[in-house]
Amino acid sequence: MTLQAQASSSFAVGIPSLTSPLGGSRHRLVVRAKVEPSDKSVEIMRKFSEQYARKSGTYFCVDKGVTSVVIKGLADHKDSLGAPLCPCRHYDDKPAEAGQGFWNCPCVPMRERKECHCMLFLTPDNDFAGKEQAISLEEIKESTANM
Amino acid sequence: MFSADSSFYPTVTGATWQSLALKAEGPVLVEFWAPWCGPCRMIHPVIGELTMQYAGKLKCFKVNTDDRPSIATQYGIRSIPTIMIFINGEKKDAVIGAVPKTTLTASIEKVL
Repeated sequence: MTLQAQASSSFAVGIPSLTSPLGGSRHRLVVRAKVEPSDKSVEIMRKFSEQYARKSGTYFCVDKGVTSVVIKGLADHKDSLGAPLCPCRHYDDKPAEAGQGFWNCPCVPMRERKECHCMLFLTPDNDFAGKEQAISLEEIKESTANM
Repeated sequence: MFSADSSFYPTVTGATWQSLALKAEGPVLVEFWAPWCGPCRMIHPVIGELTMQYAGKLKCFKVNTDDRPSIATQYGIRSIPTIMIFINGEKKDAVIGAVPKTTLTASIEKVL
């Protein structure tokens, strides 16, 4: 909860007129804002992804563009929700899901069964699995430049 | 050779959902996607190819679930991407994830 409060207050600075009269629904405005995730969060999620791939014995997608988009999606949710909620799901209430934690990366299906439908962490037998467990910030920026 | 992408099939909005997807004549394929969903990037060109391959027989659209959360919620979308096929506004099939093109053609052929 502390993290969520911090995340929303840092975003609210720029749009006080929007946040104050809407009270509890301000999270939805923040979540839907189309902005690039912060460099800091991208770097945190990039490092996490490398470490978790090694730890779990999984590999990045042969198309690193997929990996890059997901890392940025996780970073975007970390910025807006305070937690790296899976970007490959639809939620009726994102802040509530982030607070509950089931789909925060690494999600429960990944931790229990190595199932990542977002294709960030692929087991070696997956047709789309590459051979790498590392991705640079440059790779992420290059492959998401035209979005 | 040409490469298809998601620009080959239009986006459905809240205002056009009824007329384009539900009241259309013939089968309609809808791709539910989100901007930061990695597997969605893999399925876009596949749907683009299907749009051309089935031109005149199947209408293809996409819904950004971040922009249109109410449509996604209404149809119980959870995993993204989810591809749904409708006829006369009725959901006939749903395929979840970045599946091979053959999986989608099998679903399409069933309703043509």
